[in-house]
Amino acid sequence: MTGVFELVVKGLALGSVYTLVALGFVVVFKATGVINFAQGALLLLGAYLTSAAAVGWGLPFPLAVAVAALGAVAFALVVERLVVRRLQGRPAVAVVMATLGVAIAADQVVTMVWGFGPRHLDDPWGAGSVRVAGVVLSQVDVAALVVGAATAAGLAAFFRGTRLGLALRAAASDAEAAAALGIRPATVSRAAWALAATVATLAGVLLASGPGAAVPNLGEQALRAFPAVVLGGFVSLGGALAGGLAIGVVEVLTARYLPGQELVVPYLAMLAVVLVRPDGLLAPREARRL
Amino acid sequence: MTALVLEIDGLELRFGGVTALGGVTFAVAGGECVALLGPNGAGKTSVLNCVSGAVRPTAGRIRLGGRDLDGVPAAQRAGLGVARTFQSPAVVEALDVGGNLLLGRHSRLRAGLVAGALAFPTARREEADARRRAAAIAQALGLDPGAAAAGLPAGARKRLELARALAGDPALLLLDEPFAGTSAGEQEVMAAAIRATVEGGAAAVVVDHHLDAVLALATRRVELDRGRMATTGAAP
Repeated sequence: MTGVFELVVKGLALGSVYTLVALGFVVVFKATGVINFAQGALLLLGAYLTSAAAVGWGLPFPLAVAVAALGAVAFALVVERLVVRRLQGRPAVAVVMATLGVAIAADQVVTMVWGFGPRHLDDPWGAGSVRVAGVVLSQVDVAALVVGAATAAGLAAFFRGTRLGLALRAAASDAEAAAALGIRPATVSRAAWALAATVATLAGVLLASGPGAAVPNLGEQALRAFPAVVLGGFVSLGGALAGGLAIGVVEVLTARYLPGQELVVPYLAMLAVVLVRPDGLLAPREARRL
Repeated sequence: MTALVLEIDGLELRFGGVTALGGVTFAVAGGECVALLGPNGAGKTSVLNCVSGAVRPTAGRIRLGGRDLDGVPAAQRAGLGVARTFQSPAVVEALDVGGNLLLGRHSRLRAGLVAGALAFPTARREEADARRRAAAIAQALGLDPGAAAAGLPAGARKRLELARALAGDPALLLLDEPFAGTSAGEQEVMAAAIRATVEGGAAAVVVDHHLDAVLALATRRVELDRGRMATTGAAP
C-alpha cells in the first residue's frame, strides 16, 4: 500500500503543475482583467513544440523547451495583438469568449499539424523513479516540484525586483495612475501574455513528459487548474500557489481513497469556497497583491 | 518671460448632456505655479484629467511645450514630462515607499523594460541612479524608502504621491488636492518641495481647498465656476 506521505508528495508535484497553469490565469487577469481561456491552448502548443524540437529536430531537451517557450510566447503575442487588443473597451465577456475561440481554433490546428496520436518529448526523466529518504518518487514528480518551486521563486523576484515587474504591479493596482506614471497599457498586456505563455509551456512539458505524452486533450487538463485559481481568489500569486498545491493533493488523495471521483472533488471544493467566500480563500488579505 | 509650458485653449468636456468644461483657456509658463480654484463641481479635476490624458476633451487644444497633445495617450504624456497626483492618493499598496518612488522615475529611464528585466549593465546603472534620486526625494519629504506603502497614514500617502510625481523631474506638475488630510507641518515640507521644483523651471497647476496653503505657493490664480472661466489674476 502506498503511504499517505508518498501520496501527498505526489499531490504536491501535480499541484506544482496546476500552480503553473493558475499563475498564467492570474497574471493575465490581474494585468488586463481578462480570464484567458486560451491558457490551455498555450500549454498544448508548448508541449507539442517541445516534442517537435526535441524529437523532430533533435535538439537537447532544455533547448527544446526554451524554443517551445519562445514559440508559445510568439503565439501569445499574436493573439494579444490581433484579438485581445482589438476588443479593448468591449465588455469583458466578449474578450473571454474570444480567448475561448482562440483555444478551440488552436486545438484544431495542433491536431491538423501533429495528428491525434501521442507525441513523446524525449525528456530526460522518462518513467523512472528515485528513492528519497525511503520514499519512492517518480522522476517527473521531482522535476515538477523543482520547476514549480523555481518558477514561483523566479516570478516573486521578477515582480519584486525588476522595473517591468513593478510596472505590472502598478498597473494591476490602478491602471489610470500607472498610465499617468508613463506605464503603457499595451506593454503591460504584452508582458502578461508572454509570462502566461512561458509558464504554460513549463506546465505543458511537465504534463506531457514522464509516463505521459503530448495528446490533443492536454489543454483540457489545464482547466483542472481552474479551481486553484478560484480558490486563490483570482488575484494573488500566493493564492494561485496555495490553491494549485491544495487541488493537486486533494486530487491525488481522492484518486486513492475515492477512485473515480478525483476530477469532481476539486470542483466541489471550488463550489463550496465560492458559496462561502465568493472572493476566494486568500482574497481579503491578498486581493491587492500581485 | 520664460517659455510657456502648458497652453490650454477653449477646452470643452461634455458627458452626454452635462457640460463639465465649457471653454477653459489659460497658460502656464516654466517657473510658474497656478492655483486652479473654484467650488466643488467647477471642473478643476476635469482640467487636470484632460491635460494628463485620463479623459479626452470634447473640443479645444492642449499644448505642452508647443506640442499639440491631441491623441497622445496618457502614458506617453508622462514621458513628455507631465506628472500628476490624484485626489485620493493612488499609491501602490503592495510596494514599499522606495518601489513607489522608482515607479515615479519609470518614464525617465532610457533602458528598455526587457533590458531591465535581464539586468543589463546600462539598465542596472540607470536603476541605481534612480534609486539614489528616489532616496533623496524621500528624505526631502520625510519618507522612509523601506516603509510599506500600505501602512502609511493619510498625510504620508499624500507626501508619497507628491514625491513620486517629483521623482520624474517633471516639466509640468498637476497636483489634485495635495494638501488634503495633511498637517500644517506636512504642508510646509510639501510646499518647499513643490517650490523648489517650480523654481527649477517646471510649471505647476495646483487644485486645493486649503486656500492659504495653495495661495502661498501660487504665483497666479485661475478661477472656474461650473466649468467656465470666472476670474484670473495674481495669486494673493
